[in-house]
Amino acid sequence: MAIVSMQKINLFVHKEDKPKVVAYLQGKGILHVTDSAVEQEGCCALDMDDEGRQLEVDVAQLDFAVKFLAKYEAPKKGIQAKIDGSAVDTHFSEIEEVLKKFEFKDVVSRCESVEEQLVNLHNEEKALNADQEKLSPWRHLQSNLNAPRKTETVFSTFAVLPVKDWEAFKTELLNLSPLVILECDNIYSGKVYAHIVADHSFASDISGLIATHKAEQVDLPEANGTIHDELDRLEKRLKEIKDRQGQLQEAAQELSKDLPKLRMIYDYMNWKSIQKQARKKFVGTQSTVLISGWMPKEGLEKIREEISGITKSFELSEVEPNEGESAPVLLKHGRFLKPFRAVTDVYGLPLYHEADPTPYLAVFFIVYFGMCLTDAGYGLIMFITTWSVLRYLKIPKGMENLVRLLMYGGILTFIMGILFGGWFGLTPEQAPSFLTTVKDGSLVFRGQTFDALNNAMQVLILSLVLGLAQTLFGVWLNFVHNFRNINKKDAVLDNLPWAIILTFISLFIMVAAGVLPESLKGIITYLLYGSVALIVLTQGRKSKNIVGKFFSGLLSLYDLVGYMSDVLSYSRLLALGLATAIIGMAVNTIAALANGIPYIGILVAIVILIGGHIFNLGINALGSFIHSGRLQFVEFFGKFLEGGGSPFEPLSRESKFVRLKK
Amino acid sequence: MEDVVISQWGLALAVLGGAVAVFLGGIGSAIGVGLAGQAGAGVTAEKPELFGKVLVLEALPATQGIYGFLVGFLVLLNTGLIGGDPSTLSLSQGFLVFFGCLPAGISCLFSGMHQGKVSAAGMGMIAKDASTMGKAMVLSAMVETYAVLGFLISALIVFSL
Repeated sequence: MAIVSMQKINLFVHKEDKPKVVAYLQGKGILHVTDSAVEQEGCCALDMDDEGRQLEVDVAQLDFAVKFLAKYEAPKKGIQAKIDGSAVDTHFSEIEEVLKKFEFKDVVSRCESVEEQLVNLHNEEKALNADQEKLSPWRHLQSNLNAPRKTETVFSTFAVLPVKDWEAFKTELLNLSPLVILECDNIYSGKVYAHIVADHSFASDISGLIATHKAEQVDLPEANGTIHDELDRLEKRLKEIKDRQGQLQEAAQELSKDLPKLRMIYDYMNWKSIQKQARKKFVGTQSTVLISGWMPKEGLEKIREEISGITKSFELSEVEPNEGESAPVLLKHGRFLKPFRAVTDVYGLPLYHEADPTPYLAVFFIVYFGMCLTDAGYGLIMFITTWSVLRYLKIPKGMENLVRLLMYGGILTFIMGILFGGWFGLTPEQAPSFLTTVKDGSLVFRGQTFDALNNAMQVLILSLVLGLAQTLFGVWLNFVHNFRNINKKDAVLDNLPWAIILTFISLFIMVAAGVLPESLKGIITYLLYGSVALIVLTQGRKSKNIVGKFFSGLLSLYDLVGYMSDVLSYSRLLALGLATAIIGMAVNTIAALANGIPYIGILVAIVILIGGHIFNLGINALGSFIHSGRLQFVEFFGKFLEGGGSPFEPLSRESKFVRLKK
Repeated sequence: MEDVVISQWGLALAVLGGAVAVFLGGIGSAIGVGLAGQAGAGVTAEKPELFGKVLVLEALPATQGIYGFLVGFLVLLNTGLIGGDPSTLSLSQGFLVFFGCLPAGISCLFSGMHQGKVSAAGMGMIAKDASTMGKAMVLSAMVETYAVLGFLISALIVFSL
């Protein structure tokens, strides 16, 4: 339940056995392949072969077909089907079966043809629509479009200009000469479409007029028949296109029934392609191949046995990692801790030699989450919702941790809600009587120990105490981990003094607050002085001369400010808890005001109550998660973790769609 | 007569404080959410499937407006303006509430604006790799800390009324 121990291995196999062995390793998903690019004599890195390239082409084609057909897939019904989406549950053997019977290339080429036709039709449709738009204002033009635009004596031209400029233009145009004629002037959506026929000698005059009136000269297409005929022809062709598109879409819908099969084959081909990609990291001689990488130490022997079942000619040896090479990090947790991976994953992985923070943050995280919400009603709703989701729906693996974590969060929120007296933002006076009890003469909720609204100081102190506790925990954790696993001397000299001084400071605070008896004050004060001296003596030990050692030791006391600001940062627990309570209260108050509206008041009030509380729960659950997480990442992890480990990414069957059944 | 005037001024100052907290917080969030939303629209245009994540990241700078609103609400509640029975406040009490509202108002104004910028930058992160969502959220929430602290102090002061 921590970071899994890794062993670097070299695996030599005979070239002929390589595909089988690699396929086996992929199926197991236990080898993180590293680049063994040691260029030695007689060795060379393996490159992509023709089969590999063909696989890449197949994968790309299948990807196209799957994406194309997904648009025509029948919509899913039911929540579960929507969650499953494009996932396919199947066995490995079933995929191989499908591969034998199902001609995927055939389907792919049909998809390609359908898609090509659809694209062409779409382009044609766009062009036709543009023509239609251009021609329809000229609908009233009587003359044939194939009539010559120019004869020996006259020419004709088409112009468009705004209605407001029309009168002036028309007068000037007709005043030019009787040899200028307006054949047609049609008004269409604020513009005049004019057909002008004139003697050649007026060509430049007319062009000038058109330019000065900011009109636009238009070229109409040459075609048989009038504009009207042309528009009819366009209309007819558009209808044909629509019909054809319908047919093609039906064909695509029909093809989309094969989608599950296509998805299976896509993943299968992708697995094979991944195997081929891995080759780039192998080194080979004429007859052997070297595969090197990291494997979990545990189970190594079993792998050795199982490979010997595949081939006799292999050699699996444990080797030392190269200089500066760090093992990939794989975290392993039990059932209870697993959901907290959702928190650790946000931060990233620890380094291989560091401690896995997941078990240490778990309790703190979930308690803080509860404190940020502190509403028993909200906790109950969260728990019931997430529990039903886990119970009745099958959700993707990636989501499961988060949902389960929110379920824990719901439980803690419920508990914290009882302790802090939060029930949907109600005051004890408003709440139903079975929830409340009389304590010290005032009405409080059953089980209420804190009252953030009337005694905020109490809760602020509680928040800071939790902060101090986690800080202390982090500092000691750092010492213990470094002492055990890294370097005993450094741990004692660098980390222990801080753990000691913070412990004594905490004890001192406890005496001052009256938690510990006053009689201990003298001794704790001396211990505190002693630990300050210890810090000054140890923390400067890396400086060169004695003066430097003293001053950098003294200066390191300044780090105490850092610890103090870390602890103060936990005051957000109070603030976020208050925010939830007050928004809840605001929602209730506004609903009560709305209830005063005659007749429909009660309906409005109910809508406000439901909407308001869902909003409050949503926004504050999000805030609680982020802020509780931040307290781990920034305040807690900083004490003992550097982070930035590279993840263990084994050669495996990475699937986009397929969920393999065991 | 003078006493009456002074007592009304006290209440008026308290309300002014509440109003300042609400509108400064609101401005901060409006600017912040606006910035994040613009960046988010760009991401959504390229990758519509990220809309859910974009929306969450955009909503992060919205909390400042809520904190401001809450301080305003607390002022109305504690002065009895909600419920129709306004209490009389002395001039100094009025100033106390007014000054008390400033930490929330001003810290929310600036933290909202800047959280919006970080959220907008986070949009770029998730556009490149959707799995960095958690990191983008934490980066953005770092800025919110100061609004939370401002709200905390304002709430404590208004409660003390």
